[in-house]
Amino acid sequence: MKRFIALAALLAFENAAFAQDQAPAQQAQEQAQKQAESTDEAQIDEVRELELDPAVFDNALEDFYAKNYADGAKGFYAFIRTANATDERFEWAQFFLAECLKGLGLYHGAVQYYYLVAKTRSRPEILPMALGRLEEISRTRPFDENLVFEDLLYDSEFGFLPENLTNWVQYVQGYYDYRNDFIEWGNRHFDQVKNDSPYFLKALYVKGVYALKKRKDDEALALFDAVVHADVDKDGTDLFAQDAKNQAHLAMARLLYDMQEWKKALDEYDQVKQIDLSFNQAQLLLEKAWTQYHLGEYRKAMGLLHALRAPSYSRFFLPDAFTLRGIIFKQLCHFIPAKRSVREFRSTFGRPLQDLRRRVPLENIRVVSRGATQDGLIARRTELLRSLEREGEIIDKHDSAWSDVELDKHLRRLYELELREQARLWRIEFKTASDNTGLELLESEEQMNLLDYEVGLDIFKRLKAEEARLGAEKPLVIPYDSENVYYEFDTEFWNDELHSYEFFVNSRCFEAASAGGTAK
Amino acid sequence: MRRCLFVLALSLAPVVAHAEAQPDIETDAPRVFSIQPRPYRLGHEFSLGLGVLPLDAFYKGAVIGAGYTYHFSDFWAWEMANLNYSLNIDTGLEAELLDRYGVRPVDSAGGKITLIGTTNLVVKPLFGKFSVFNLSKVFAETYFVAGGGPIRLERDGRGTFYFTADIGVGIRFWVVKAFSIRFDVRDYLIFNDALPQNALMFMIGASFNYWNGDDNKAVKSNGGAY
Repeated sequence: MKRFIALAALLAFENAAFAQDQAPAQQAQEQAQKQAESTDEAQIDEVRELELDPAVFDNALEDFYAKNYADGAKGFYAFIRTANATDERFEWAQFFLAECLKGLGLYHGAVQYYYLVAKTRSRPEILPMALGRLEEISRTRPFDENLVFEDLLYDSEFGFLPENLTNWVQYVQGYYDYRNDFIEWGNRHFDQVKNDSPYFLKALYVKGVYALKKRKDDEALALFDAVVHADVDKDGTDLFAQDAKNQAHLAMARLLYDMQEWKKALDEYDQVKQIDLSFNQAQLLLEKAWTQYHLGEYRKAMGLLHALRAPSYSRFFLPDAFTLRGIIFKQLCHFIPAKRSVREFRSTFGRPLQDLRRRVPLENIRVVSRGATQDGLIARRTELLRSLEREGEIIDKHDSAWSDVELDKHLRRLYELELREQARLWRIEFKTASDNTGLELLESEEQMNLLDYEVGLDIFKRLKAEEARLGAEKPLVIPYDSENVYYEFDTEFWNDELHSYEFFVNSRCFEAASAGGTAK
Repeated sequence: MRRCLFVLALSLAPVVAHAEAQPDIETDAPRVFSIQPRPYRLGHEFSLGLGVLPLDAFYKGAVIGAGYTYHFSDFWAWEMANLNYSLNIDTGLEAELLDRYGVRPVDSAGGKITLIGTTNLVVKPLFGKFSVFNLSKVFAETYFVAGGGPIRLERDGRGTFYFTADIGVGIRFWVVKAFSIRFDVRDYLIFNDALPQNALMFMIGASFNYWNGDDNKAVKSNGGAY
């Protein structure tokens, strides 16, 4: 019911927006109506035809094909403002306006018009094209998920669609059914997704997550396994499919990690391909480092932590990395570097921790605010807000060219409303996310304090003279002829090396002192 | 004297033990390596090339070459056979000397290189990658060769074989695992006289590689070099 209310509200908003934009045309129409003497229906059509310049649409189309998107957008908008909604070119004008806006980089504006075309569905021949564009945007750009997924796709019947779009629509409908706990309906939708589509992988993943939520770990593992072994994108060229497989590998690895199956977990982590330099990839490095630590591979764990210092990753909030680095240095009896890790943590997070204690609002603590918005739904919403702001600047560039038809005014209003709504939702999500981040930071500080104390104890640990000998660890050798290549790190991070760093560091522990406690 | 040494040894003993127990913190600093399996490995290599012999003022050689190299490891290889045929183009200098000054070269042992056949030891100490416009990367390997073999010099239509020793350097850029482009520079020392003759060759080649080993076992199997 709520969805229908929201839909009605949205349509009302759209109508209101159009009503405002069409005000000058309506005034003219009213004047014409007063002058008319015959039947009402005839009068309106006549007036519309009088106002509409028949060349507007064709000129705009010419501009569009000449890739002159700004003029094209202006022409199509002028047409939409003046033409009757029953005009056979009306939906085409909306579609081409969306195309022009997309060409100009105004993706939100484009989404709004693709949405209108797909929602009204009065011209079935445009529907697949509009949905196709929306599907592409949904894979590649931040967009209003409520508008496209909930208001447009969920609960809608689109009739016959090309296979790729059917897959998308069925996946989204099934996904929302699963979210709402309508499992049977969800399965019915997922069954209609072809098994050579990336959305088939996504559907299996949703089922796996649901099984996990219901504490059916074995079933979840089997479903994730089915995702990674599915016959989709075997050659690894489709990033979207690869992302789905990555997610499944990650989910399996995390599950196995929780089961303390370190080796199997590491094998799954190793299967995750580096397709970008996002927070997820940074988190993957940290999780791999923890797994290597549990396997006793301290040097490899340190190498993975070293990769987190790469400029692409260093901005992410991962306080655990400091803790793990300190613990490993302590385990290898490198007490000064272990102490240095504690100091580094305090210098990085000292100020935000101080702010937390002073009860500064969390949105004003930069580290917390960054940490809270780096992952999940809020990350996508943050990106959408940034994108809306960037696109707003594009409108400013065209305002003089568009002012006579008031397209700039219309788009600004569209963007302002969206910004306001997205900001409202962001604030709701931020409250929970920032609380969690603040808590994580405080817990990390506690861990570091404990580590600091334990390192202090280890430094001054008493040892009998006869035990004072180093462990029989082999010296580190770099072979000149090897099937491996050894690239020594020289201040420059290469993306392809991020998962292969290793620290060449010997343990300094005396044999009797090698077994030490850990802070975590 | 012996007693003095014994006392000295006794007094130093604890110090030595202490020194062993305390690693040098300054020199024991961790080193960080990226350890990756070699993305391109060579086994049986067949190469074809086009080159030039530019040094001789009397002629320039346009060279067609072919070779087979067996790679024992990622460092050592044996270029079992490298055969080059030179199609020589007269620069006209000899005729000009004869026409203008009525002289012609009298070096009886000299001549134009027509055939070179060598066998070489190959070492490949340099392997690396280049960033291309910061968009993609290309892997390359630099190698050095040294060896020898017969060389045929031709003068007045008569050819004679001599021994030549050669050294060279080359760089290879991989396109795919089975194919690479290589650039070679080789210097030939031809023992055709008391004073050996020198010839330089530049060559660009296409190299076809057959490798049937396991590419990805490297890092996983030995876990680094500890």
